[in-house]
Amino acid sequence: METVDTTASTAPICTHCQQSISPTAKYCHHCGVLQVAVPDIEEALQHQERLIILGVFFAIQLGICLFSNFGHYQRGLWPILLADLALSVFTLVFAAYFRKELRPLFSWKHFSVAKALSYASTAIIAAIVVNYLVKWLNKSIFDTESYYYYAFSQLKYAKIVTLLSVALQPAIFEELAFRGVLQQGLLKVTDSRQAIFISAFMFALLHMSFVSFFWLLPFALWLGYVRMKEETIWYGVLIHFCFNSTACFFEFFQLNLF
Amino acid sequence: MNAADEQAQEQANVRCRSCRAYARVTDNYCMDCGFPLRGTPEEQRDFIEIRRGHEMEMDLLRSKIVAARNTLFVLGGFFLVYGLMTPAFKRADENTAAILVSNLSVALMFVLLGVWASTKPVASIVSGMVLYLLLQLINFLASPSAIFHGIILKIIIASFLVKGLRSAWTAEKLRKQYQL
Repeated sequence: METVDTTASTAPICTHCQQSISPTAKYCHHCGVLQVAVPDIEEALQHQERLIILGVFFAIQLGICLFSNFGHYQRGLWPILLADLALSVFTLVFAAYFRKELRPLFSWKHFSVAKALSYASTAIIAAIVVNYLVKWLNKSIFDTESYYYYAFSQLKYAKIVTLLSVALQPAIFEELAFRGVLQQGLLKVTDSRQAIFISAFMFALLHMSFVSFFWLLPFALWLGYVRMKEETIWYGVLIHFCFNSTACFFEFFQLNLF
Repeated sequence: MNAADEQAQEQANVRCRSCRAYARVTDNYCMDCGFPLRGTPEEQRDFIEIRRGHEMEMDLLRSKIVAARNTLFVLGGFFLVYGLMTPAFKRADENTAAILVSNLSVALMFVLLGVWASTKPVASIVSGMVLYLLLQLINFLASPSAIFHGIILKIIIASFLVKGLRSAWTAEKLRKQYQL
């Protein structure tokens, strides 16, 4: 479907009669044809099919997270590892399905070390602030102290496994799932703001904590915005990894593991 | 405003009968709504009737979006009241502060989504529906029989949200298609 390039310095041309029109015109003043791209029936059906696929994708993710958080097995080493594995496999399956659309997001073309460092340092600072607040909230309001490390503490390389499970796996696969599959899929059917918000909201909800939701949502909105601005998921992966690994090191320090 | 727009505004000396936007006497069609400025009276009348039909359809859709928006506010109010009542009905083994904070957080989420539904109804109603679904699933996992408690109310809430979402989706398409 053709659209009018309103950014060009010369006057745009009507998509139907090819005569010049005003850059702000919604309709051509010569032939009356609408100048805004409107999905036709075939496109509308494709949108519907895409929404169903995205719905199934989210439902699978939700099911896995519900099972690992509220199932009878509760949290432990094997439920966590199995949930991580299942989430990774399903994300890869859906990413393979949308591979043509996702390919540009894996581009390193405009990668800048300075930008990466600034994103990483912001993520680390944000993680320190959030972790202090979360630990304080858990202790003072919920009267609990939870540590990711305890799920792996019986293992020989517990710290490394904690980093792999809490920092590396989510950084890669959650970014691929939410900023890749979900956000990219939604961009085809709605505007960028709504796509960023919906994928960020789903991301925050899947963490299954109604209190953490209020820092997870801004964090996910930031990741969604960075992915739109930079047109790659790699900065998001880096931010996510720095944020989560800071949380792990925060725990290691608290538990005197160094 | 660029040169072409300024020139267009200078030359604009008639107003569109359909949307009241300014137009030039030489224009065949209104640039804002596509009204046939130099069409026959029948063409102009047909255009206005069709557009009025779309606007009436939009009004109907808007009313369903408002109903879904109000549902989000009602859910927010429900969780707020439920959270505030927790201390009175809590069991001895329950953490009052935790239940209170969780319910107030959920209430705040629904209220914020309701506020946002006025500008971005699709995103906010989808999010509200998923949040509602998640809460029902958590309740179901905690106590399977709880799914039947207030089942009629739950169906009413779900239907308002589904109708609101479908209307918001259709309204977005209509707005794009006819520039309403």
